Amino acid sequence: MQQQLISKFTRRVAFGLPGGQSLPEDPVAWALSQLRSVPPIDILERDGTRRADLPADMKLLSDMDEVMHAFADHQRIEKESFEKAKSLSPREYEAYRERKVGTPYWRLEHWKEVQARETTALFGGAPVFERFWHFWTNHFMVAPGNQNNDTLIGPYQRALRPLMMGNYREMLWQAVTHPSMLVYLDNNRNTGPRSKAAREKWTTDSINENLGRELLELFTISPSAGYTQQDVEGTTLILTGWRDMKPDKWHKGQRLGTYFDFDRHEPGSQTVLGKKYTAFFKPSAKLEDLVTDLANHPATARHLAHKLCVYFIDDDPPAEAVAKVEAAFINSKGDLPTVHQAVIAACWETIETTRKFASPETWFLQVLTLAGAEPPRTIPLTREVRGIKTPYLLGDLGQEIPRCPQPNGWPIRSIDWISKEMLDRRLRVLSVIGGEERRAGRSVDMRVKVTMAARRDLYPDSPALPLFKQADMFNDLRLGLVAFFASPDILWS
Amino acid sequence: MQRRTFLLKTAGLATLSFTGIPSTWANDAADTPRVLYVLLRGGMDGLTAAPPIGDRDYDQIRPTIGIQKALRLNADFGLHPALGALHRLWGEGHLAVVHSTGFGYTGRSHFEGQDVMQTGIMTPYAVNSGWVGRGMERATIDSGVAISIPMPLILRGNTRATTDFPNWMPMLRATDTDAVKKLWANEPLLAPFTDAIQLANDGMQTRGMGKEAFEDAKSMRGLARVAAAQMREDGGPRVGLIDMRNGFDTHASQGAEKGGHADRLRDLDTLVASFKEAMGERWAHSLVVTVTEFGRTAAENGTTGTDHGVGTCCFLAGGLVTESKVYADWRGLEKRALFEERDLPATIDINAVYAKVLERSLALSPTQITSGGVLDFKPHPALNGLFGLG
Repeated sequence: MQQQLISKFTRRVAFGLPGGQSLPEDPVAWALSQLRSVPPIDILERDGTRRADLPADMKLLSDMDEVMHAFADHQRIEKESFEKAKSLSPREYEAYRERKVGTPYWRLEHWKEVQARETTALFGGAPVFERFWHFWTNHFMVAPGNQNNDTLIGPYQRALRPLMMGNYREMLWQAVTHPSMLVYLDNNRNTGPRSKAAREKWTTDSINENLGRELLELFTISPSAGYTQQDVEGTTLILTGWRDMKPDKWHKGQRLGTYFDFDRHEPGSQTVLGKKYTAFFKPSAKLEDLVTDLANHPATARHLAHKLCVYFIDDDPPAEAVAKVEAAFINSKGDLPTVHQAVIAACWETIETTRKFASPETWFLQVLTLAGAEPPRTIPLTREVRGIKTPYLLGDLGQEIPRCPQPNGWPIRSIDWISKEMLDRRLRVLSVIGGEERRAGRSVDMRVKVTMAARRDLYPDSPALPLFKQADMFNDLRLGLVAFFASPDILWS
Repeated sequence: MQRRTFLLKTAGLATLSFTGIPSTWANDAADTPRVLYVLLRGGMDGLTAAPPIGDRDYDQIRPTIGIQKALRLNADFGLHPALGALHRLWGEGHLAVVHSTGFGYTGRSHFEGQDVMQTGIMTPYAVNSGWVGRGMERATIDSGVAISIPMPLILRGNTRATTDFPNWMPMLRATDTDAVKKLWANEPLLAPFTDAIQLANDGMQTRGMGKEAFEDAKSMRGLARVAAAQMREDGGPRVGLIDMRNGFDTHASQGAEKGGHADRLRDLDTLVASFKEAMGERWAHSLVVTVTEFGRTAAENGTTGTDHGVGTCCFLAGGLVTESKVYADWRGLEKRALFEERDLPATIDINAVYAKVLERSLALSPTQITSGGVLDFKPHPALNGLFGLG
């Protein structure tokens, strides 16, 4: 029993352990050891080295100058491509769009970031860290939107990784003021009605509440704190002028990336939650103060503790577990390593009586980890390249990372991932993964790993055990995969 | 077996998997109503979809994004030019538009709003069932299908509703689905799906679907056909749902006759037209209903878009509509007439509209709807006569 609980815990806070590997004797220590430093991220081989068969120029961008150049290029090329519609036949135009925009941005950009995320989760050596990173990228969701921001998302999400070693205020600040977020939630156009730019009619832009509302609702105090439309408006005005600087015609030697445009900022003071924010000499400091106050607000600690516990523990998490995480957040003033540690401890303390039904991405990574498989390798260098591509396979399962439909992120409750269609797809994808391994000549290895994982992880009364005897992994791999991965023992963790 | 053959022949969807439908449906006659709910997430701008062409303030508050080339409905209202199929339905007497309508919820949050529009309860996150799902349960209707991968909240509260979406992956074998039945026998959250999974895999699609067939199946036209292929059947689902997942949240550069908002409306128009065509004779007893979380600010914002608001419009299209008419309690677009001086007000509770839909399609009385816990609503005299009801 103890062994199955430890196995459940390894799937709860990570993706389980490969079949054949023994479970840690001290599961909490095992988990915490993975949270002490920031593992590097890249597109990895099984042995943890960078994948060798990638095009030389394919790399993950991190340097802000490079990122903003790539973003500006994407926007410019999209715009230019619309002009071509007039001079080309529909077929030529489609081919042109595909070559200029489709392949480099919609496909390769998407593919390389997803492939890095999934292979680092599998082969990077610190799956517990990756689970928490998945949580934070979901919490501070930025998804491809209507401003061609594809190139900004990966760099932004990866920039959150080192911030997991600091406190929440710093992560909140970096997330909210990152060009990726400013573009995604339209704050790059949020302009004070009494700002110089508006008064002198340099722009027709005015206020846009999108980021202001989400800063209160999603990232900090949440609606249960009872804020008003006036608070949203105050927050929005404080956010005016915060925008992205990219190398375009307005760029006059400014540093690329986040930019505070004094001329678009609403002058004077604003009030949020009853507090007046004023800055005579440095108006950008109003946002710094507001972010500090929101990060330290007790409602933020409550909101985040509850969200972490729903994500990691149970749709209806035990009140004591939430209270412990909340206390860790408040006592440490939002020190994230302390908060993560409290979540790990609460997970282990409640592991017997709580359960989660993993999101499609987490489940996919569990399957690959336990079976010793890897995500499909196909690189979509052109539209015609055949083969299964990991980002779209995740889409088939119902979670096309990072194309989240809404800013509130993917669902974190178990119940939202259960439907006939989602379950059917999980079952069918097992054959797809089995087929990929067979083509790569690794199906014997997979059979061995799944058999050993089943021996280690299934409860003695599991309904999967009799099926296993019937399946005989070496004769019917498909049935073996279904018996193991569809067993309630493994589906719930 | 006969039913499947029929589906394969008529829909041209030979490679799609279908959720099976049990053979013993009670009381399904040729004129039993069919309702397709369409979720328009993001907040549809009612003043763009059905512009109040007769309102003297409209052009003034929408100098850039106002619709100048509306398709005329009457002296007061028009339709966006991308809604050509809906306009033809108007001519046939089968389009009702309810305007300046919305939920009692005025918090302007997408996530709370999308919870409220599906639960029908004005306190966000209060329950885990939807008003359509509860209505089906109250009327003991067995059959609903969401053309979606996840099960949308609006259909929950009824274990018989199921999900279906075009899928290219090879089918499971009977050995596999039998195994799943055994594995989930004691799992209350999973066991209800095993029959449907077995039926969905009971076919010839062992090699997976080709790329073009798959792309076509996922288009608006394709999804409407998947829904209709099941709903038009005798004994088919009486409730269907298509989730247009995004695109209506037009904070910036929403466009007017052309642009982002126009593209989404064209999708909606294609969906209705394709559904009508694929329903065949059943269209005479069908209804398409739009559901969106809120409308948008009456005036355009500083970034030629609109922000989250309250009131919007609702489209009701199909043979169940007895008279083409705009139902509205219009207060005008002057600042003082607006909700909090910014949003089109919800002068008609949209739950009252949806209650009429349930009344007509599921034969539930208003008392059964309110006292049965299906949906609370404020009746409005302007809705008298909708669907020929009192």
